[in-house]
Amino acid sequence: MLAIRVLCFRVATTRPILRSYLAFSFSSSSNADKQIKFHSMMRNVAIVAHVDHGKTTLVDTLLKAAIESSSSISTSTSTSTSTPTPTPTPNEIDNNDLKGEGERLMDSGDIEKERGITITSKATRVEYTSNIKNNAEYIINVVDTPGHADFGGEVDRVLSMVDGVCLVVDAAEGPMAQTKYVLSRALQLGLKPILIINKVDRDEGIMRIDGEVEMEVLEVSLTQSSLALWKTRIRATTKLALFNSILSPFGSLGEDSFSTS
Amino acid sequence: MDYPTFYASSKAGWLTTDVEVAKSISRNEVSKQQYGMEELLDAILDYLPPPVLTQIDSASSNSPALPFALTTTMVGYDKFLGRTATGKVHQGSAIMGDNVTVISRASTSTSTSTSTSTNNTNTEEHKPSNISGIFVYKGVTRTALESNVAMAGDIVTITGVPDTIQVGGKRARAKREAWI
Repeated sequence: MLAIRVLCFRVATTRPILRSYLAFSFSSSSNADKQIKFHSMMRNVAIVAHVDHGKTTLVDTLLKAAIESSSSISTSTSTSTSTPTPTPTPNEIDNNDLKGEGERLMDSGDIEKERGITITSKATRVEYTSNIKNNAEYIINVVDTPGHADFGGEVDRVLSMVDGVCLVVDAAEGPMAQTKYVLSRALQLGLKPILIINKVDRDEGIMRIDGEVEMEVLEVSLTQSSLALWKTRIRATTKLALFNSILSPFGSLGEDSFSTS
Repeated sequence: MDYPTFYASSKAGWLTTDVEVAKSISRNEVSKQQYGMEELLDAILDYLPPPVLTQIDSASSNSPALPFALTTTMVGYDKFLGRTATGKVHQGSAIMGDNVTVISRASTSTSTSTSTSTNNTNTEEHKPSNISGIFVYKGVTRTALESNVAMAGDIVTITGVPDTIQVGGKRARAKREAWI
């Protein structure tokens, strides 16, 4: 009986409270072409990991790399055409900001700076000019997420916006509790992961990158992906049958037993 | 499971796919100079798909210009601009001055069969308002969107939204997957 009560309670609590949309009509014929081009040049990615595995630092370096890449390309083109453009681009202004702020630029709140943690997730736009893609400018929306379990709800919300995640794992610590949680959430939503083993240059890190960390992550990802498959693909009726055959001490339950009303 | 693996030190600012190179850099045998973060950015472009657009308003899916729909993921407040809403644009596009209405979850689920645009919103709960600004964050600096058009797939911050706006949470699809 207790098991059924817990199950019903969980179903009831996962009901969404409110969802907000903004809607209106907007029509323009030339906009459709623009939209298609824009769409293909855009990526949305979230950076997820356990606490202190280096998410915010990674976002910092990503921002710097993107700024450097676009500024180097713009300077090379300006010298070749022999008409230098002295007006600073927005990227250059950002670069100056980055130099002034130092580390953990994305942690902007007072409490975040004081404690050295991320509390609210932050979306930032990276304009990246790729060398290997004919110098085309791409837009990558990078979302930095908090690592603490207390702010797990933030991560859940952010994952609904993105199409892939960068899973950061500390080489010394290996996958931890939050690593498993965020990975399972991402896989349930069908997001593509990219694994980044971080802090490799530390002594504890170098020793473990000979396959040890990789195996740990693979183990976690396989477990979580099979769990995700269980949660998403297998139909509720199958679960009900299993529940009836194995778990229920009271004989069969009908499908009504699982209604949330 | 198929995923690319990178070895990195984000503090030192280098990243590589090769484990031997990673060890060499860690022991200061190889310069980290040529192993920048660009490799990860290129991998994001190659490996991840462009934004998946969920068509929220199924009734109008055949029309070329879908109504603008943004799911609010973060709500903020600015001293000068008032309430701000950040989220992914799932369909359509919007420019400054466009009229928007907040649709609560309850009202969308009941009114999918009715007409498409702002008519099906719950006007008693939320009054329509005009977008006063479309912004994106670059680092921590908020900058106005250059094109001034918020297009589907992008993550933008808009201002001029009513104070009653609430964080929408996840898509309905994500919610259903979560239970049991």
